[in-house]
Amino acid sequence: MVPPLQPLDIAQTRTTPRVVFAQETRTLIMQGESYPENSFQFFGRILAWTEDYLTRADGITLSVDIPYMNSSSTKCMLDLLDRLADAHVRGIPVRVVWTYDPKNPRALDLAKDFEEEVTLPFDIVPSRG
Amino acid sequence: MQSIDLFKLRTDFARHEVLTCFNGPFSHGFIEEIGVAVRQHLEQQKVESSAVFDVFAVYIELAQNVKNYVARKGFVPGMAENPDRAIITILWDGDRYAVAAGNAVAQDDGAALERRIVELNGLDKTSLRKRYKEQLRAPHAPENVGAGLGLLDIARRASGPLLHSRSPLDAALEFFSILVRI
Repeated sequence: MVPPLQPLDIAQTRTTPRVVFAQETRTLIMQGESYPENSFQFFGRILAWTEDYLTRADGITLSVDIPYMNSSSTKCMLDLLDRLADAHVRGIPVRVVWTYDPKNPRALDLAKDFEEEVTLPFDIVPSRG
Repeated sequence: MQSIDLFKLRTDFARHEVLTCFNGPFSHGFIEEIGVAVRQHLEQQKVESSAVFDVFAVYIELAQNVKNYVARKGFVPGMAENPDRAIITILWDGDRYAVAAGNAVAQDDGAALERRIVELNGLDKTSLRKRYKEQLRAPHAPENVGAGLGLLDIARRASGPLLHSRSPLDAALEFFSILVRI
């Protein structure tokens, strides 16, 4: 018996994004800026949850809307994307929807940096408004 | 009575068009507060969105680098030369914003940082991006809070070479400052 999936719902703070898994749509949502005191600690919990989720071989969409992340958060984000890319290779349906602010050219550059690093369906969409 | 001359300090700040300057021990809470305040100020000044993010990002990377360094070295209040205290400032440097930070470092670390800065200054934007992505893929030592990406991120956002200076403090320490023009 696989133990039940732990719920994931981390409230947003000024330096960390909201992180929530929406069961109905199987979407892991990350929303808000990310520059915590210790990015590895913050992302550790999300990575552990994602690894657990992926052992169930269910599909997942990662929806990212992070207007700014510090450099150690980018490293952690790549770890997370790598986990999803591994799952993609194993035939699990995964995709990434990356929202960026079209008014900030750096935001699109960052999305492209990540898109180039991993092989999986990766949509880059401008935010509205 | 010899005491601090705030008017002189103010005059210096005015001459260098200092927007904000902090000198003291860094905490995460402080880094956060100042960062948010500066960003709001820049947004009100109608500074271009990418420049606001660059100033903010360079400020965050420099401040977190200093804070992590002080923690790693075990610098605590009361030590000679007060190496737990650092300075960070955001200013208008003639024709663009600049972020500068300075703190006490071990002389070997100062020499190593200088070599790294000189090396990064020799790279163009394409090479910096390549180096950033290599470092993104480099294995991370679990004991490190940082990812070794900060200075690369700063160099990518800078409009020109990173400026630095080193001033001796005592037999072991020197004051290292770095200025990044956005």
